Amino acid sequence: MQIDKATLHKIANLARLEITPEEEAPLLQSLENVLSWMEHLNELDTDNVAPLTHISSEINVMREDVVGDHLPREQGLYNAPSQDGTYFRVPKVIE
Amino acid sequence: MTDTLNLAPEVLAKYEIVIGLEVHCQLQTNTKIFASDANHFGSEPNTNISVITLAHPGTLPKLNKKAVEYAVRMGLACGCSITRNTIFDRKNYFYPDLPKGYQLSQDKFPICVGGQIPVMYKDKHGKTVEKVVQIHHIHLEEDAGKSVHDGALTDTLLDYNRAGTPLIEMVTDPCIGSAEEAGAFLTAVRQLVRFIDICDGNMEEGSLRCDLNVSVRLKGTLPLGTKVEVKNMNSIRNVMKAVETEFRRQVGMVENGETILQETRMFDPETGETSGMRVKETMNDYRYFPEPDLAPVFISDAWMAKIQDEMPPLPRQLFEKFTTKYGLSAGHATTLTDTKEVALYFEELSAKAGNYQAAANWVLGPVKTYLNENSDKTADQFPLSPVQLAEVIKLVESNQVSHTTASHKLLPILLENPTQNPLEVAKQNNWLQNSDAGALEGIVDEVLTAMADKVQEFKKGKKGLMGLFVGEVMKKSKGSADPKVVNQLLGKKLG
Repeated sequence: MQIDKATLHKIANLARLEITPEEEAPLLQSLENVLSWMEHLNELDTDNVAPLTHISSEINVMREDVVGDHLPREQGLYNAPSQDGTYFRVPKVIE
Repeated sequence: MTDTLNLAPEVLAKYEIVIGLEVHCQLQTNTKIFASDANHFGSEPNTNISVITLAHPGTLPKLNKKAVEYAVRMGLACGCSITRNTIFDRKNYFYPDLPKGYQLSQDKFPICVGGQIPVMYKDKHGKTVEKVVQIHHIHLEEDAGKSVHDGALTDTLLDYNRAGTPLIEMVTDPCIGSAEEAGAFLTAVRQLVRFIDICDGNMEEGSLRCDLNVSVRLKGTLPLGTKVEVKNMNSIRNVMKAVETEFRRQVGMVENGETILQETRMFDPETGETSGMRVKETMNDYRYFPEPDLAPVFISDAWMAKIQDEMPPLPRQLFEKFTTKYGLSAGHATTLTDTKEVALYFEELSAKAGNYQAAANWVLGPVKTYLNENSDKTADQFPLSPVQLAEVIKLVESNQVSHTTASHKLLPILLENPTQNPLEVAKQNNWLQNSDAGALEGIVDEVLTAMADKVQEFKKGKKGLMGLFVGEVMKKSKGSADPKVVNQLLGKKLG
């Protein structure tokens, strides 16, 4: 499967990755290897096979609607790169 | 910029608007959809948080059973088909209000499919229109956190209390054709979610939110125009306003030969205008895939039956009952089913009072008046319980207290002192009326003798004098006479 540079950059952008020009060629090669390997799956006839969404056969793993322990605010904020004791702070989001 | 204000009515009339709605309802569960943090509006910022909500590495979501039940409830209320085998999907996008970098939502197997909500409204010309709005699907998902944009700051502030609040998103078919219809649909949705107790329907606080998908086309043509999404309306009135604004804007662009962009626009409640936000890229940017961290959900027959059993009565079921079984007019039944509280109050009152029409009159009169004057209260907070009000109704029905005295004198006292017994209050104030014909007959005779000249005039045809006689008898009985009996007696004597 052929991946062009534009596709590579689109995927990188969606994952918020920055790619240097030197990284382009090895990444293209690496992506192509993976996708070619995955392409083998297309050889199978899956017309009458229901999609398998989960490997485990577990179903209905649920909780009752009961309030549990909260994280104290200072602990919740502790690891944040920027915070003011009340809020998490991030660079201004402009739309 | 197109001058949309100067579009001639005949130009606008050539076009029609096609609207699809996306309605988000926050489910009023105790906890979030995938974590046991409190689901509560108005808490101090970042106090209803946990490692799951903040997406710390290694944490796993666990589904709140109640959220599933509430979504099924809504599906049943709208006649949707319930997807018995359902899963969650990841919707991938980066935004600071979404700590995981993806939203847990449903894509291919939404929990409810199809269904409809009937609406009734008055169109622009005042004509009553009945229509059924088709629902495409309803899915479950989590809400995002709240961004606080303080103009003075260079940063955006994040509060994750709301992150993970359970939501249902209801998506309609593109079948809504006017602002009035969109408004009626939202009103019906709000009434429904309140009746079935899954959402408080408060648009100001954002527990009920609505996005519009709007396009225009020349009347009589089939292909839909380019769809524009409009967000940020915090009331039904603003949704209707946004529809009107967007219609004129898009017609103006088409008329000018401009191309309508597929984009998301923000509604400004101050100006009533919409403004562009971001150009939507291709749909598959979200790269949905089945959420591996959440096991599939299977809704068995037994579970369905349990949810069905717990369903409160729906407004249209009560409307049916009130009109067919109780014989009330459609107008009365509509008002009585406006809110769940009023409907339930009326149900209990009529059962206790044994007279549907009288119960309806008391609810539509004094109870409604009280609720209008105390807009923060709902019918279940009316000071008199249905049992107590039924006592008042019985006093009137049995002619012990006149209707006027009951509604204008007795009720105000009881509203101030809800613990008092209606009959006792009537006795203490000497409001029990005299319907004993024997005792009244004496008073009637007295009055007629004293007003012999008027009696002559009456007999000569001045029938309007009847009111004068009644008034005199009432006065002499100090208001205790039953007007009905007085009328009968006078009719007999003068006939």
